[in-house]
Amino acid sequence: MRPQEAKDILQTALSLVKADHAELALSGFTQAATRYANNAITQNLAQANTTLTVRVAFGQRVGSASINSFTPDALRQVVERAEALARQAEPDTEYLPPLEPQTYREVPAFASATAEYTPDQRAAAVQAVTQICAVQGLTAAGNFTTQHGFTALANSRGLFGYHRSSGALFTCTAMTEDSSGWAAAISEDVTAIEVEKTAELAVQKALAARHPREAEPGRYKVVLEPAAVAEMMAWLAFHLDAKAADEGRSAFSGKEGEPIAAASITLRSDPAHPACPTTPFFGDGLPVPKVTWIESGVLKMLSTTRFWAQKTNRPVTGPPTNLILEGGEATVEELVAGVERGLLVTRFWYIRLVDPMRLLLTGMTRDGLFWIEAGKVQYGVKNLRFNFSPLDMLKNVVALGRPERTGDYLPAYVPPLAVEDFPFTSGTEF
Amino acid sequence: MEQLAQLALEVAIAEGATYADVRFITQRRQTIATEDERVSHLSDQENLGFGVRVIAHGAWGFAASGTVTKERVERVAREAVAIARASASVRRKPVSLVPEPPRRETFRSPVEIDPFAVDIDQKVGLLLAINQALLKHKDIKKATGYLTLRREEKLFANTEGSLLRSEVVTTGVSYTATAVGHQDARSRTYEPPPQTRGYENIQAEDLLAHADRVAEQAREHLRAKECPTGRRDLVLDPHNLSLTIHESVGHATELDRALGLEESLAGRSFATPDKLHHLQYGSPLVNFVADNTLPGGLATQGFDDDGVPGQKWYIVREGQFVGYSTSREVAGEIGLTRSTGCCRADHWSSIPLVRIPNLSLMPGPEALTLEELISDTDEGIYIEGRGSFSIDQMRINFQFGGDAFWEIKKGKLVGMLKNVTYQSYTTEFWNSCDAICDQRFWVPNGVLNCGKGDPMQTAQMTHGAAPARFRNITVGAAR
Repeated sequence: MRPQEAKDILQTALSLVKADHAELALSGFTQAATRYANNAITQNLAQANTTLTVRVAFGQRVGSASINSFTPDALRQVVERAEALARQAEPDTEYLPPLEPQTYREVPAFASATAEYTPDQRAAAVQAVTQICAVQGLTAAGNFTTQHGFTALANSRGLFGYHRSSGALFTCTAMTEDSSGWAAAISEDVTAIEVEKTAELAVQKALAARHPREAEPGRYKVVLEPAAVAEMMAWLAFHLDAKAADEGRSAFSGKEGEPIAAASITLRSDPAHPACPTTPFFGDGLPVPKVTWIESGVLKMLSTTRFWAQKTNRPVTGPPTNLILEGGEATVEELVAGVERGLLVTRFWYIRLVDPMRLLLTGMTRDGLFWIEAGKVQYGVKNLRFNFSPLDMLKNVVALGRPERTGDYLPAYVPPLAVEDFPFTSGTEF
Repeated sequence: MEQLAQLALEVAIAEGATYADVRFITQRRQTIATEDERVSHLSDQENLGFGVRVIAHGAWGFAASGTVTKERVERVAREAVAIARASASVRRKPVSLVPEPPRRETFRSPVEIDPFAVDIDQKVGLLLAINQALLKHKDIKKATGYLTLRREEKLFANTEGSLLRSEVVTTGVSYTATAVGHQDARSRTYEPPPQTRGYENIQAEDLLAHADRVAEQAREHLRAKECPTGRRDLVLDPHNLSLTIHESVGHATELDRALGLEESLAGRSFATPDKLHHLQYGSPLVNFVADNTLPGGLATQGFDDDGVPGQKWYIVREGQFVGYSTSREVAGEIGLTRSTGCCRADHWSSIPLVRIPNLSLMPGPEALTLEELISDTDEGIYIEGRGSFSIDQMRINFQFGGDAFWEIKKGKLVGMLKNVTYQSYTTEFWNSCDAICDQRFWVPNGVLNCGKGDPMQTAQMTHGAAPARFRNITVGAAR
């Protein structure tokens, strides 16, 4: 939807509001996904939807309602539903009135090639990938997803924002009888996705991991590839909340201004970072700022809402919208060369929080765990379960490589890391 | 709507589909969240749309739109066939569905009180009253409440002549108290079973009656001893078991996973078809029954999105692995003549997938109370509620936590523990089960946010259980 069309819908809905305040968001997306397994396409879909969310307030009594139809009747009804909720609700004492109009950074994040990509193009890519795998006697599974959409905001104080974006994600898991290898490529622009190169990487990993041996659970020096780093760091990002820390309910309680990581660690968020751009505004219209969370190992900032920032006299940050972890120039192979005896981790799986007070996580390795000895990958090993905190991980970092774009749920631009004393507590059968 | 459904099917057939189905769905969700004395979230979401699924050239295609007009229905049906044509360029063999007779039926969840007709101030007032009751207790510095009310109205039609209507209503509520002490904070949660029932499932008196216990147990949790390390006997309550069942049995026995179709995201399963009727999944005491006809069950929805009615069958019988959850597509892959009816999508825009049914650990055959079970346990840990959960992509190695933990010594609960985790391997764990309490202690807890698929979908299902004991399980590895 074009900016003017979105603005017209938002203005029409705003004109129906009787509440003291209103904040409206209109967002639409079109997504296509071609999923494959056992060397064949198994699911193939296209979906599209546009949703209007109306949040209104009478004083501090707040309610919100949403709808995906924009007829005059539908707009009237959605406003009435939000107002009915707000009228009956008890106050949200942390509610703040809508923002004045804001200026947003231009974040280029849309590629028309992605928006115009067709089912036939995705199928051709998958065919190439399954052939690469089949030639080697491997089985391939994965997904090729393309999507594009927009978000438009307006409020009763005249704020308006519009951002459009696109994204393409290609994943490939190559499997032998007793091993698997995984690789992925992600970009706003589908033409930047190197499908065959990605599949070949997955194949190389699967072949190198054949006939896996067992590694005893224990503490190892590890090299974590960027996907594994991003998965650990996303959990850290989700728990940066200043309010929980101030209330003594967080692993970050009392840690602001303290060294919490190796001096080589600097972690930022930047919506306009060219390698991982994100929407330049939050849902309430607040511009997404560039924030340094950890600088040279010191915790510089926790994430704040507008209310908590005002109450505690901190800058308002909002939650992290992407993760930029500074790195160096080393490749994964060069990091491996610095390991006398340890493990190379392609990625993790099913990470969950065990203890929020220590940010203790558990999870499994997946699709490529390798034994390193004398600075070289020697063979594949069966997967292991870890119990470890990303805070301890960051303390134990001894080397950083070249950052890469990764991260499904939270866009990330992070390097591979070499980490001492990474604890694995049990193994599995494959 | 019925005319539009027929139009979608006609266009799909005219474009070359050999099978098509269409779902028109209206979803409404009301969500209320409270934090201490404030309403932190109050929303009422509604959406309407349709999805057309076709088989053409022997392959699947699916397209969906939130714009419900005659023109869009025609366009989306054509798009679904074009997508199927693209799928057909990379297929191993033609998609084939096991037979299912056409039906024209309607299903409605049993609803005594329409949850959307209950005043907002009554709902909000209940959650705030609970928070107030929790915050009265010393050390309780945070109280949160959550209420979810859902309604899904669906029209399903397919080219085989089925025309099915359903209206499924789901209600669920939970609350949490957090005690904060010196450099530590511990929580306790109360979550009665969410069910496909009306607002009568939200029982205000029961919720308020548990508030003092929940708050005091959060306080005690703060002062609890650390979990020991080593091996212990575990007594698990129905709520804790619900998640262990879900992860180590429910997902492991989805046939699409076992056939490798979910490898790209959720993974596969160790429970492959060659193990059916051969694998000792659990001890002879262990019976897992799938039942999509269970009254109030979260997956009790009349029919699945293949148009197959809800059924009841064994997944594990007297310890032996005997069944899968299936769709019409995958059922034929292992020679079944009928699907067990587990193919569901979470939205009109989502493609139907094999989903876990209502899947329950059946109660033990002999009279056995929780107190008797604990008094029969020499050295162990009793766990209530849900905590951390993680399992490998073949569903073998898992590690679970809980919400509250008590040490058992010589048949008595001797005090709370904290940071308890148990780690085991699926069949080793279920084979270590040597006692299950009887029917009186069986509780149909549920999961409202089961993630699967790519793009990710969330589904709901019930997992009933009675307290059960597991011998010699590794605890305390997470430190």
